[in-house]
Amino acid sequence: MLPMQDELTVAIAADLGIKDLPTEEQQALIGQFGEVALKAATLSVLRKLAEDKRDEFAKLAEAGDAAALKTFLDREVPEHEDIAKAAVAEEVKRFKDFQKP
Amino acid sequence: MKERPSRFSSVEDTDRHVRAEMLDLEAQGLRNCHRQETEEKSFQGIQNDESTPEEWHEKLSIAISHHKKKHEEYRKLREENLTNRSEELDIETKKLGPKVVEFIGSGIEMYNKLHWAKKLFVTGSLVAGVSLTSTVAPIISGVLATALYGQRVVGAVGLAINKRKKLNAKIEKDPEHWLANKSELAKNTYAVALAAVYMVATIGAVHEGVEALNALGVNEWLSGIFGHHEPTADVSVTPDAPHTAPVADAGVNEVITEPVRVPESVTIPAVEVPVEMPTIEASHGHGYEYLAKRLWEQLQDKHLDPSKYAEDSDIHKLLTADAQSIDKVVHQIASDTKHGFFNPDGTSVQINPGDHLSIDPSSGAIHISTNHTSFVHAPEGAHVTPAIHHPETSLVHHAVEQPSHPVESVPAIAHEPPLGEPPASYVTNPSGLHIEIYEPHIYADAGAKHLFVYGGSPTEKINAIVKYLTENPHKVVFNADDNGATRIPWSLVDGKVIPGAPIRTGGFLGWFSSFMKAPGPEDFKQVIK
Repeated sequence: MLPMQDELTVAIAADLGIKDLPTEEQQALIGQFGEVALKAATLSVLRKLAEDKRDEFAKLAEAGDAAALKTFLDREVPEHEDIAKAAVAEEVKRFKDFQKP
Repeated sequence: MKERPSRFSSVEDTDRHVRAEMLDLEAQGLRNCHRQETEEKSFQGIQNDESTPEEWHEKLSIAISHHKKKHEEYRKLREENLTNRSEELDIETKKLGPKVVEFIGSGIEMYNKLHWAKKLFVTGSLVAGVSLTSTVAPIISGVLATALYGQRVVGAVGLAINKRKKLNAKIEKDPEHWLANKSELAKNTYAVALAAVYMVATIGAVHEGVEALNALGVNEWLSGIFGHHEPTADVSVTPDAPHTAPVADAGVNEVITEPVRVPESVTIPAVEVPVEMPTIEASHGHGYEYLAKRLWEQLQDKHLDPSKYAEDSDIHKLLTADAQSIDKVVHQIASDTKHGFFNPDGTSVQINPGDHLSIDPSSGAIHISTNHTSFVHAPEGAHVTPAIHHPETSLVHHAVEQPSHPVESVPAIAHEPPLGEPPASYVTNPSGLHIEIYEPHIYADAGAKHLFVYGGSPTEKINAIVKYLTENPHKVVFNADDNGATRIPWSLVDGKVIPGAPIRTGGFLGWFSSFMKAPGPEDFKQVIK
């Protein structure tokens, strides 16, 4: 593993409360946690969209135009970055709480 | 009380004792991790035990085995927790309709297919924002500052292949070539080393670049491409081949000469290093004159000696042009009958976005490369654009005023002021900000959240960044990449000004799929410096 990846793994593991685990297990859990965080963050933002706007979002997503998606979200859910961050923070907390004795 | 053998009665006993203590430490680590009362008692029992080292060893082995079993169970519990949570979120997703399910499903599928390192970066990017105390945030910031090094190395793969192809051609022409009888491995290493020399940002990274390229399997890949299979090179190197490379350093931005370390098995004479000519890509709103001027700017950075080229060559004309004469020179080159880019009737050869303008290093002639062909002289029947003259229209005005209009082709002469008229030196953006085109300045967006450099040649912009970051070491300044297409963060790391990876747009909900365009006048709200 490159030093940068190593450093990042250690930092994420510390945030997730799994720094005492062997590196391979940290990596597996970080990968799994990323999936959960991605789902939770996306869901939290899309929840804020009205149903017809979700269709519009889906069309833009299908077109694969990331810039258009961002413009759309900036307009429809201006606080989407904060919402996504809060969702990830909640998942981090949930995972850490689970590990508490 | 049972008498224990002396701790250091023999080397064997000492070794046994050390091993036993190591096992004890390992067991204690596991105990701390799980904090289970029963296990603590078990260890206290062991510690208070008066057993012999052999008995100690056996007991500890049993205890460790027990802990490992517990540890495995605990790991599974963590995984199950995340799996369950993921399923809960799937149920929540279904409530939002099939399109949302499909969107999130495809995103997760994309995520799961990522290489581990990219997953790490994605997760890190998400976790970085969770709290002010997160330890991830500064590292992600650091990653942005250093990732370009990795990207440059990866980018060097293509360059290495080209170098190797050129080397093959040279050897074919010249059987006495100094590498002709060297092994394929040596030839590949030479190609990789050359690629690294061209791609690195700092001279100190050359050696690492060669190693990293080989670590990426480039050497083996090259061998595979050229039909040979040899073990990966040992790239231990010696400082015997001085080369020159640009270094962006705090307070200075100059060309320095330092020894470049090259593989021991291959000595690279300095004269063998060919000049890598700049290549400029056409984009919407940027025609021939713009490309030719960027070519001229980048040639300045090469510090080439004009006397080494024929006086009537394009490269000689460009190298001897200055800021006052360059407009005239690029027009003369385009009108030259050997090119036919501009026609006497005022029409000009159509240049499409994605075409490239470069210089042939052997002839010194400007040439245009499209997806299908490359030409020095406009081919018969080439599409032309009519003569268009907008004396008031400057290149940047066009880009600012019509950023979203699709342009299928770029009139080659439409976006530069006609000859004889002084070029516009500034533009006023939609925010009413006066933006210099030919002088570098540091700008900021609304709220001064992001800083940008704009104006002047690439070298001038780097100099402006170096100066600004030296005075403001904790800031990040965004610049355009070499092609003026994407946005690159520059920051000060360990006293050196280092470029980062291109910034992505929609990097989260857009599923990490695009890059943020280079800073443009429309981004600026205020002048910082």
